[in-house]
Amino acid sequence: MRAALIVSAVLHLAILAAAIFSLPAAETYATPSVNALPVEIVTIADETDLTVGNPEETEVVEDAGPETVEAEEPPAPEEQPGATDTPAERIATDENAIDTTAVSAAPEPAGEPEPVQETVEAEPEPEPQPEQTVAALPEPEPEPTPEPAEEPAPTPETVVPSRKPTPPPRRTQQARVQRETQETFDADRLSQLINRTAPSGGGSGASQASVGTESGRQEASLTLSEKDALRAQMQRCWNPPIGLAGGQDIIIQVQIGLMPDGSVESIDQIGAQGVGSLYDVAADAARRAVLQCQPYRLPPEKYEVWKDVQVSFDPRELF
Amino acid sequence: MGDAVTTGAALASPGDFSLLALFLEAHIVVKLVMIGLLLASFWCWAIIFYKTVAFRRLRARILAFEDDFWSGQSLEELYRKQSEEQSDGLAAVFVAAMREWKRSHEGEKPALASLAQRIDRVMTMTLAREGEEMERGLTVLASTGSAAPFIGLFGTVWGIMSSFQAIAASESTNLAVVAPGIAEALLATALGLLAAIPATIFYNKLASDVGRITQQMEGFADEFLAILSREIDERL
Repeated sequence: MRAALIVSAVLHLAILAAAIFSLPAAETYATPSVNALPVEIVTIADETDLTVGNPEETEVVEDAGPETVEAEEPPAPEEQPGATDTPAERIATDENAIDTTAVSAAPEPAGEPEPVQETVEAEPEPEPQPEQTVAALPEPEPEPTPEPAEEPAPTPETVVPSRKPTPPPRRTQQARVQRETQETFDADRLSQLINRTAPSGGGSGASQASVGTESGRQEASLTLSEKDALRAQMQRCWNPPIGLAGGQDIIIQVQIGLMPDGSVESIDQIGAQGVGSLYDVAADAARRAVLQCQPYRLPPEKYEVWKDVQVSFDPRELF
Repeated sequence: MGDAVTTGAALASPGDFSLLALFLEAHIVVKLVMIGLLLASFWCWAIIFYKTVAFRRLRARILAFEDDFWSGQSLEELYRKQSEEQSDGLAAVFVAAMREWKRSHEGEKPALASLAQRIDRVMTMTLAREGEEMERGLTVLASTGSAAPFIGLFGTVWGIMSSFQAIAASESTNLAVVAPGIAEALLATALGLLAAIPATIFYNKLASDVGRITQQMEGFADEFLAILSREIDERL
């Protein structure tokens, strides 16, 4: 028996040694090489984040053409009270702008402030602005009036020629689109807009930074990719009850107050669609999802925007 | 916002998957199972070697004894020769029968009335003892052959269980997280099969050998009993 034991031991050791030292380890799978495709990653934020103006557009304004490009964009910044400039600087830029427009465009007509008022009232948002400028500087008031006089006649003529001197590349697509839609030339509003230019820009040079306020980005809404990121962060924890897969229409809308560090400050359920115990369960699941996944990572410079966000949980999106 | 999208857990480094590494990284329960299976395999092979050699020798001795028995020499002489040495197999049956025969003839009046039955019983007892001796150890092979796959499977299930726990802990279902644990676990089943397959094969072979040898010995015992009972009947 001892001999058999020894033989068995030797055999096992030999086989083990052979297996350990000479048995080839599993080869890694060779993945076939694929021709590289050039892929350019473009964030959708570049396409959807339109709130900041282009420096070129301020120059287009200055040659008194009918391009009222900025007229559409500033309303958002104007709502923000903190963005107003100091009066002194505003006067400087204002006079600059008025000078250029006055010189290039027209002779001195009689001042009447009425057309200005009309245009202002036409748009509800810029309302607070006229008051500010009126309060700050009374002098510009008569001066803007030259433009209304100019309005009927010069605009059709100057559209083409006044544009020529400016370098063609300056004209952005937006500008062209806006020019078609906007027929009325409102110089007063232009001057007000120019008032809003950031002091850093100064003058009428190309270095003029932006039509929007310096803090314009804060007012910008979250871009699609940022919304998607927020949704993705929440959906990691969104674990709806199984019964919801049955195609019932339950949508839970939650208003979330966030702290600057991304943690949740408050949750309010503002809107909901659906009734019954299943809905309660789903609402609880949504609440849990919001609480569980904090803190959320969002661009801190846009805190003003995502301080309060509404998120709707739709179980159907998940399945 | 790019950093908001986390790219899963850190990928497990592609370590080496040699047998030794797999064994060392396995869970302790899986390790114990593997060691047990290795020991079972070792013991099984020892029994296989021992029994194979022992049966071959036994059959050779049986053949030699039958040659001696049928060579025509006197039974007394053969008995004297065989009883001197340690006898096994057929020789043991022959010696037991002859001893009973001799003992019955020791008195003034030989006890012949039920001598044939006594000799038969003695030979049956000896045959049973010899068969028991031959079958010793084969049960180890039998139980290894039937139980080792299950033991290996137990190790595998345990290993997969712990590897799933690891998946849950790392919060990633990446295959690179799953694969090493399952590879370790499957090693246990491989070892179980490694022990069970030769055990089953050699158990079948050795058991049939035992049956053949036992039959051979029983045939001899019957023939010998026939000769002895004829002798007894003549003396009555």
